[in-house]
Amino acid sequence: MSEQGVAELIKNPGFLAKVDRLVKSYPRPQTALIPILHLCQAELRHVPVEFQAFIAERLGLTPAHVRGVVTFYEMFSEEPHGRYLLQVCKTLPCMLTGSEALLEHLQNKLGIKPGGTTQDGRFSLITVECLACCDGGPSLMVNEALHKRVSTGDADRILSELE
Amino acid sequence: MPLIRIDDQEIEAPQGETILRVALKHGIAIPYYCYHPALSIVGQCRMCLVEVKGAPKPLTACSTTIGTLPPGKKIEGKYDMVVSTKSETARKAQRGVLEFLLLNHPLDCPICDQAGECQLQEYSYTFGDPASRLEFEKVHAPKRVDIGPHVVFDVERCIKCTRCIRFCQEISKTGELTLSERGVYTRVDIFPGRELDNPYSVCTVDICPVGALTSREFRFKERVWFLKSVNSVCQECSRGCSVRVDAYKGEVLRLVPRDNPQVNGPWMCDYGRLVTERMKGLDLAGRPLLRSGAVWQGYEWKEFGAALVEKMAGFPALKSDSWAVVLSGRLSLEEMAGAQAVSQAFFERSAGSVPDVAWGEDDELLIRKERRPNLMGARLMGIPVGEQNAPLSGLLTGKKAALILREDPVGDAQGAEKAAVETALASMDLVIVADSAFTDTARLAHVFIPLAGWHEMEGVTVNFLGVAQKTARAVVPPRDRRPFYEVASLWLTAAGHEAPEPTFPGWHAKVKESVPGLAGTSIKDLLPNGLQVLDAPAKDKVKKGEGA
Repeated sequence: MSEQGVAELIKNPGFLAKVDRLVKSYPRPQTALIPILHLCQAELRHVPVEFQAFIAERLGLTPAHVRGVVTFYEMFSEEPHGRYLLQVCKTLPCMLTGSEALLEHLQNKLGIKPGGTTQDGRFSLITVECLACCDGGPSLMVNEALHKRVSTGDADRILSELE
Repeated sequence: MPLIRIDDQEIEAPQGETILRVALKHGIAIPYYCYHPALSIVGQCRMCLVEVKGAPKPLTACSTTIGTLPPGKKIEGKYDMVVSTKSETARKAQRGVLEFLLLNHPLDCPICDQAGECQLQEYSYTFGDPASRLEFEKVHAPKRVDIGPHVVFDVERCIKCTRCIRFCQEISKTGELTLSERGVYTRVDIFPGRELDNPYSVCTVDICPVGALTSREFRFKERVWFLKSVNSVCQECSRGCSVRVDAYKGEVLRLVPRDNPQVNGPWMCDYGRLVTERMKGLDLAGRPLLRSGAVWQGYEWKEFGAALVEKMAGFPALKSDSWAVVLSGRLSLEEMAGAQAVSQAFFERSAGSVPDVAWGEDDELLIRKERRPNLMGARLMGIPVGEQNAPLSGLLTGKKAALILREDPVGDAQGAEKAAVETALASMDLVIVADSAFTDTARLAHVFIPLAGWHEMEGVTVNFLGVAQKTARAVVPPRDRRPFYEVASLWLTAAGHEAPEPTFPGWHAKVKESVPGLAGTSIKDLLPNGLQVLDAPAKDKVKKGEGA
C-alpha cells in the first residue's frame, strides 16, 4: 500500500486507468461504484469525502448518494484505518462461542475501543455483522484473512505474526 | 376489471393499481407515511400494512398491486383480492410498526412545530399503543441541523420515510439528500460541505409527515391550530400557484401549496413562499394622501373621493394623450376593470398598458420568468401587455400626468432608466400613484392611494395557462388599505358617474361582461382549483400529483 493522499490518487494515471476499466465493464457507469470504492479503500485505507465527490461526478451520481453507499457498508470508512484492520463478528453465533471475551482481550491489548486506531497507526479495531462463518465462531478477520475459532491466545499469536 | 373487497366494500379496481390508492379513492383510511402521490413508491415506512387473504404475512398496501385470479381460483367464488385493514392481524401489524417508529422518537411534541399537523401524532392516537415497552436508553441524535438556508433538520424526530430524499431526486432533481449509516443509526443526511439549497427546498418541509424538517422562517412562530387559513393564489410569477395562506393576528406567517393538478401539483417555489419575509420589509401604506409642495395631507376615505375630484378639477386641460396610464399585472381583473372605468371617465381614454416584468428563467417545474401574476388577465380584459422588460420611461416621458397602479418604476429601475423616470415624473402636473407600499415612485406623486395587498383582498387573476383563480382575504389590512376596485367606485361616484358597488362581487360582475371565459360562471366555480377560461398551450400543461 502506498501512502499517497486523495489529491494525488485522483490524478494518478494508473489508478484512473483502473477506474475507467471498471466503468467500462458494466452496462451502466454507476454499477462500478462499489468496486471503485474498494479500490480507493485499498489505496488510502479510507474513502474520504473528497474522493466521494470526485467519483460521484465521474459516474453521474450525486455526492449524497455516494456517501449513502460509503456509510452503509462496513467495508468502507471515512476515517483512515490502521495498516491492519481487525474485524470481530458481533452477531449471535460468535457471541455464543466467546466473541465478547475476544473483543475485550483485543481492546485491552491494543488500548483502543471498537472504531479506534492505535497511535502508531498499525491496528484498527471494529465490530462487524456476520462474517459468514457461523460454524467457526468466534471469528476474526484481519484485513482479508479470516480466522476461525479464535481464542484469546490465538489472537495474541495472530497479532505477533504481523509485521 | 378485477373485483376486490376491502373490509366490507366491494370495489372494481383497475388491474395493476395499488391497494392503497384504491382504498384512498374509495374513502377507506389506511395509515401511511412514505407514500406520496407525486413521488415513487418505496414501501419504506411499513405503516400501511394490511391483511391480504391468502398472503402468508401482512403486505404493504402502497406497493401491493391488484391482479386478476383465474376463474376457478377466485376467492369466495368472485373476488380477485380480499383485503382487511381492520382485522386483528392488520391492527397488530400497524401497532407494531408504530411502536418501532416511536422507539427512538423523542416525543418532544410540546416544543415541536409539527404538533397539530403531525401524522405521527394522529396515527399514534388512532393505531398506536399508549405505552412504550422500551427499557433502554433511546438513540439520541442532533436536534438542530441547519441543512439548508430555509430548512432545519431534527434528526431524532425523523422516521426515515425518505419522502424528502425522493423529492430532491425526482422533483427538484438536485439530489442533495441521502440516507447515511445503517440500522438504528440510519439518518437522512447531506453531503459534507453542501446544503439543501434548491428553488423548492421548503417543499420537503411540507411533505415531511413528522416534525423532522421544519421551515426556518416559520418554526416557533405559532401553534398551527391558532392559524387562520384561507385559500388563495401566489402572486410572485405568472404561474399563480394555488396556496393556503396561514395568518395569525394580522400577520401572514406562511404560504403552503395547495394541490392543484392544473397549475402547480402539490408544490410551490421557495421564492413565492418567502414573500412572507419580503412583506416585513415593506413600508406599508396607510391613509390616502394628497401632496401640495412638500407637504403630505392625509384623508379619511369618506372625504378622499371629493378631495380627489377637486384636485383633478384643477387640471381641466389634462385629457386623453396627456395621460400615461401604467397598470400592473399585479392588479386583479376587478381592479383592471376599475382602472378602465376610471380612465374612461376622467382621462377620456382607454386604460394604458401593463408592463411585462421578467427576470430569471423559466424552469422545468413551476417557476416562470414573467413576474406578474395576471398578464393573461390583462390580455383577456383587452389591455395591451408591453414588451418584456421594456423601460417604463418610454411610456412616461413627455406626458403631463400619470396614473401608476401597483408598479414602482422608480424603485425597480437603475441608472439612466431610473433618472429618466424620475425626470419624467418630476416634470408632470399630476401624478397619481396607487400601491400597497409607499414606494419610491409614491414619493414623487401628488396623489397617493393606499391599496390592499393581494393577501388582504379578493380578486381574480388568470395565469399563463389560462386558469382563473381567486385570492382571498387572509388578514384584514391593519391600516385602511383598499383594493383598487373599491377606490374606483369611490372616485367615480364622487364625480357623479355611475359605478358598481364598491365590492368584489360588484366589480366581478363587470369583469364577466368583458371576459368570455367567465360568462355564465359564478364565483364558486373558481373554487378551489380555479377555472380554465382560456385554452392553454398543450406543451405548457403540467400534471404533477393528484390529490395528496
